[in-house]
Amino acid sequence: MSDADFLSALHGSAFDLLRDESPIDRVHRHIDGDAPFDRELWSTIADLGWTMIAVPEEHGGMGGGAEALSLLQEAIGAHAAPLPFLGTVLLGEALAAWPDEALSAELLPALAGGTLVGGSADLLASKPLRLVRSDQGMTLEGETTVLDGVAADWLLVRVEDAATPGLALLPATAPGLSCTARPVADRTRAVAELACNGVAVGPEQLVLGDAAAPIADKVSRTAMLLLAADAIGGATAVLDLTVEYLKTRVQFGKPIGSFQALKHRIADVKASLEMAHRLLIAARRQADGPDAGYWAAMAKSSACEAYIEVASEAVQMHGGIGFTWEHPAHIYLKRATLDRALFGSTAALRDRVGAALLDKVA
Amino acid sequence: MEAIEHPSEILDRALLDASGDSERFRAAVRDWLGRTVPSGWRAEQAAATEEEQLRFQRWWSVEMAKVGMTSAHWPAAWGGEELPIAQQIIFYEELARADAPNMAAYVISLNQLPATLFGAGTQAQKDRYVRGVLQGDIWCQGFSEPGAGSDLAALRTRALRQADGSYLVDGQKVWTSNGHFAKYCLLLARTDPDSARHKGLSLFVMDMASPGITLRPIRQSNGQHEFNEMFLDNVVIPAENLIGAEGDGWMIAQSALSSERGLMIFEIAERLRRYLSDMARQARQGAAWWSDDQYRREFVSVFTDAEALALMIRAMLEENVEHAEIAGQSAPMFIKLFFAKLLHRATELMMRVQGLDGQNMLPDISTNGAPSGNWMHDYVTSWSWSIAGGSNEIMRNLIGERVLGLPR
Repeated sequence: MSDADFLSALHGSAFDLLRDESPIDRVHRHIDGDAPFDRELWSTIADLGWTMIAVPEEHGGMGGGAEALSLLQEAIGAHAAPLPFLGTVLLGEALAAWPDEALSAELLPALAGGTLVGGSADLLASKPLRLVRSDQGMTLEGETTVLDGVAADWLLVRVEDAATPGLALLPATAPGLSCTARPVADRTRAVAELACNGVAVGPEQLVLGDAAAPIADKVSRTAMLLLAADAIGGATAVLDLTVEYLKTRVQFGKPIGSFQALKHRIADVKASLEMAHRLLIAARRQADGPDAGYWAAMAKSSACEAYIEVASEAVQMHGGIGFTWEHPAHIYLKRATLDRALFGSTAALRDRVGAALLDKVA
Repeated sequence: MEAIEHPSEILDRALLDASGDSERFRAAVRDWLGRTVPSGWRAEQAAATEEEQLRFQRWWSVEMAKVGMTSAHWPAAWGGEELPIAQQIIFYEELARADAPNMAAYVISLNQLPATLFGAGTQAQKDRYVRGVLQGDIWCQGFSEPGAGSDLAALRTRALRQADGSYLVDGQKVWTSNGHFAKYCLLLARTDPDSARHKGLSLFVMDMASPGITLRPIRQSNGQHEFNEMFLDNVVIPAENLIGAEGDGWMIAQSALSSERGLMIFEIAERLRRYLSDMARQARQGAAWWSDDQYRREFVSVFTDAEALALMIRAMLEENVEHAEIAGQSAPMFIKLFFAKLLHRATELMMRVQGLDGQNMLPDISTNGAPSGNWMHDYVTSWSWSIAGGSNEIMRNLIGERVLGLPR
C-alpha cells in the first residue's frame, strides 16, 4: 500500500468508525454528564492504533507524521467526538523531541498504547509557570491553562526561569499540583486550570532557553494543523446538516432552501469552506517542509474562520430549533470558537503569516 | 490591417522543446520574456490611442504565436500544442512575474471560439477560423441583450432562414466586448420565432464587416471602452456560417463555456498575487501601512485567500487532466465566486491603505480585469468579474442548486 493509499484508507475508516461509535446522541449524553472524555471510545481508538501513529517506532509507535494525525483529527472534528486526542498527540510530539531520552522511553510506549493520556498548554499564548530554584532543588509555581488537562496523566506546559522561557513535563499526580475543569462552553473537550504550588521538578523534566524553541515550534505547528483539520471536519459536518435542513424544512409552501436569502449565504460559506480546505491539504503536504509554519498558520486561521461562519449560519438557518440545547448546532458552534481560540487567535496568526511573508518576498 | 504571416511557418520551437523539463522550460520562458517584453510597455500603452492599443495587442498575440504559446493550451486535436498542465501553470506564473502584456482582446478567440468549433463546427469552419486566430483575428461574442442579461435564454434577436438558405438577422446585442476590434462575432440568435427560452436558439459566425451592423461604444465606469452596443439591422449571414444544427445553439454555447478550464482565472489570479507580493515587498522596505494592525491583518487575510485560490485552481487543472470526465463540475463555480469577491476585497484594501494617493485614477490599459497595481482603477474594474460571465448572484444560485442540491 502506498503512503497515499494508506492515508486515504485511514481517513475513510476514521470517519466510518466515529459515525458508528460516536453518533451525535452519544455526544449529547457526554456533554450532559461529568466525564472529562468518552473513555470507552478512547479505548476503541487506542485499540485501533490511533494513539501510536505518530510515536517513533523505537518507542512502540508507527513513526507516522502530522499528515496522518490531521486526517484522524478531521474525523474527530466532524463528529465532535469527546476525546483528548489533541492533548495526547501534542504531549507525544514534545516527548519525541525531548532531550532526556529516559523520560521519552518511559512515557511514549504507554502513550502509544493509549494508557497514558496527555494534556498541553497553548504554547503560543498560555501563561508560563515560574521556575523557582532553591537549595532544596527546583519547584514550579503559578497557574496556567491546559487543553485536555482534566484527566491527563502528564502535562506539557510553558515555564519561565527568570527571563528564560522553557517547557516542562509534569505528572498529574505530582504533590502540589491541582487540575480542575474550567467551565468552557465546548463540553466536548475538557480544559483544565492547572495550579502549581511548590511542585518539585527534576532537570529531566525541563528544557530551557534555545533548546526549547524548536520543540515549542514543532508542537505548535502540529497543533495548528490538527486544529485546522478539526475545523474543516466540523464545518463540513455542520454544513451538511444545514443543507439537509434547507431541503426539508417547508415554510410559505416551499423548502426554505429555495429562498435566495438563504441559498446565497450557504453558497458563500460553502465556497469559503472549499478554499480553506485547499489550505489544509497544502499544510498537510508541507507539514515537514521548510514553510510548514507559514502554511499551518494560514490553514488554521482560514479553517477556523470558515468553521465559525458555517456554524453560526447553521444556528441561524435552523431557526428556533437551532437555538435549542437538543439540536447539535451549538455543539459545533462552541467547538468552533474553542478551535479558534487555541494556538493562535486569527489576529495572532495573521501576524505570524505576515512576518513569514515578508521573509518569503525578500 | 497588414497581413500577418501564419505563425506555424515561422514557429520558433525553443520553448516547446524545453517543455519536457519544468526547470528548463521556466528558464526558457523567462529568457524569451526578457527578450520580448518591451520595457515600459504598460505606461506607453496606457497613454496610447485605441488603434495603437489594438496594434500592440495584435503584435503581442503574434509574438506569443511565434513560440507556440497562443495555442499552447489547446489539445492536439485542435491543432494546439497540448502543453502539459504543469508547464501551462509555469507559463502563466512567468507572465505575471515579468508583468508581460496579457491577451485581453483574445479571450473569445483563444477559449470559447475553438471550444465551440471543435465541439460542433464543420471541418471548413475549423480550418478557416482557428487558423485565423493564430494570425491575430479577434473575436467577440454576441450573447447578451438589453432584455437578456443573467436571464440569457430570454434573448430576442432573430435569425430567419431565407429562401436561399442564408439567415436574415435583426436585433440588438449589448456588452459586446472588443466588438470594435473584432473580425468575427460568435452570435446567438433565435432561429425559431415561435420558440421559448433556450429552445430554438442557434449559433453563428457573423462577419463583423457585414452590412447592417452598427456599433455604439459604451464607456465604462473605469473610463475605458471595451464593450459596445451592437445593432443588427437586416444582417445577412450565409448558411455555411451556422454552427452545428439549428436549435442547438444553447447547448453548444453552454458546453463551450464550461470547457474553459480555469486557465484564464489562473492567469489573472497570478497577476493579483504578483501585485500583492509587490505590496509586501514595499512593506518590507518600510511602507507605513504595514505597521497598522488592521491594514496588515486584512492584507494577510487577502493574501491567504489568494494562496487558497491558487491552490484550488491548480488542483482543478490537475484534476482536469487526470479525470476529464468528472472534472469541472463544481470547482469552477467556487473559483469564479471566490475570485470575484477576493478581487473586490484586495483592490479596495490596496486603494484604501494608500489614503488620498489611492484616490488617483490613472489611465490604464484594458486587461480583462487583471489588476495592474493602479489600485483605484483596479478597484473600479473589479466589478467586471463579479458581474460578467455569470454574476456572483448567478454563481450562488448555481452552487446552491447544482452543488448543494437545493431546490430552485
